[in-house]
Amino acid sequence: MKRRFLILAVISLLVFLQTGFVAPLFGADRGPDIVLMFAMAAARVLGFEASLGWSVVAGLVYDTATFSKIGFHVLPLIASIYLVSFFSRRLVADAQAGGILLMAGWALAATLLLRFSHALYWQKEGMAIVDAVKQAFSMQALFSQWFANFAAMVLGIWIIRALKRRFAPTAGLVLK
Amino acid sequence: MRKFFATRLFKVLLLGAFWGGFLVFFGNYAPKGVSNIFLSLTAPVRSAIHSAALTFKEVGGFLGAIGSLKKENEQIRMHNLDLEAENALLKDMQRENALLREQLELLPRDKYALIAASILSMDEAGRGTWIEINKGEEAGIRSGMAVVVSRSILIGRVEEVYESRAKVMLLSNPKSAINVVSAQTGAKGVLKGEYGLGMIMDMVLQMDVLNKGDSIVTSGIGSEMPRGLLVGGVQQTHPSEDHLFQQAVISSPVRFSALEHVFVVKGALEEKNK
Repeated sequence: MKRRFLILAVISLLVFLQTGFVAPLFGADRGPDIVLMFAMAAARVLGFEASLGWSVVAGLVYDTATFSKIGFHVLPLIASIYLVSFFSRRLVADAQAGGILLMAGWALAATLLLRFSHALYWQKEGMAIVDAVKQAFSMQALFSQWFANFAAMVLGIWIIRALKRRFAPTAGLVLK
Repeated sequence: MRKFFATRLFKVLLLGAFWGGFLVFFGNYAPKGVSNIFLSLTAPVRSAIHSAALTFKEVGGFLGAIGSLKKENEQIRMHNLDLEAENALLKDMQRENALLREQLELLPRDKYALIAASILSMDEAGRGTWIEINKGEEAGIRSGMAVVVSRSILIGRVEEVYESRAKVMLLSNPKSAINVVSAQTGAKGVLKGEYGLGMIMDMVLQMDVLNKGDSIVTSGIGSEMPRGLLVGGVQQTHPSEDHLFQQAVISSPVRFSALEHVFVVKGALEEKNK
């Protein structure tokens, strides 16, 4: 029970950091999505089963805190958890260099997904689709967000590993 | 087939179908009661996080600007001299304006009851579409009220009100539309948010004059928005796509992402002059 409250507190803190810290610090569409990055990091460190349930919880907390419709953030989170799990099993990720490359690849995939969602948002708000895609996939915006996402994911993996070690003697961070 | 039901892909598809269906068919927001309890309880933490972000940003900006401080200081000194001269002129005009308003039985300016509020959070992508403030129904805030900084610079209006917090739609939100007028030429138009990236003054008649540098203020027509609140300056003008109207790119004097406190305009403070 205590562990579940701790995980819920960490998820809430991540969402609050995204809406209260990352957004004003980085400005429009440039910063990392730390909730998404930490969910992917959790899938990498704890595995698919342990992180799937919590990714739904994280999505719901995210929806509540950002005045979004229920389910809006849940879908990308569970999709990213699955992608990380899918590629983790198929690609060599244990070697240090391979692991870093894989993380950079996930961060790039997540960044492309985020940029795509930005393009959709702008198109929905009336911007011509060509301009929306140009703006969303400008090299500067893409690379700065990729780098920020990669840094957030590395930090996420480091923190979740530390938490896992801290709780290892009992049962690990597993949703039961 | 039974094997497929046990796979990860099936679990993800099932969850995706459930939440996707919920999103498409119901499109509900989090129940007010739940979000109220959760977000009100965590308001102090969120306020502290937002303040920390601004402090962090300020320190970073200061360190980055050390090299250009001397040049900037000189520019500010010159600008200050210009403003002092302009201020002297405006004081005279203010006195004249007060007399005229008195004769026309208009409400004096700057006499609004303001409610101070701190920002708790903003949209997750930092687009400047909305902010959340720590005052709500309890403080007398209602939907539609204007939100300002520095007494009279408009930044948006209250969109949703909860017990102890409210969501403010910023001027750069594409859903925002406010009637505005040029303070210099009187050209009227509608200020709209542009994809969360900036603001545009639309529907300005071709025969109206709109110059670069003009101050754009609220016209007070058709909403609860008071008249005369500054929204920004004209950066550039161009004809609309159909060439029926003029459009102007408006730059706000405030950076929405750097705000920590705002004021909600509750209403007129004094009775109409008799």
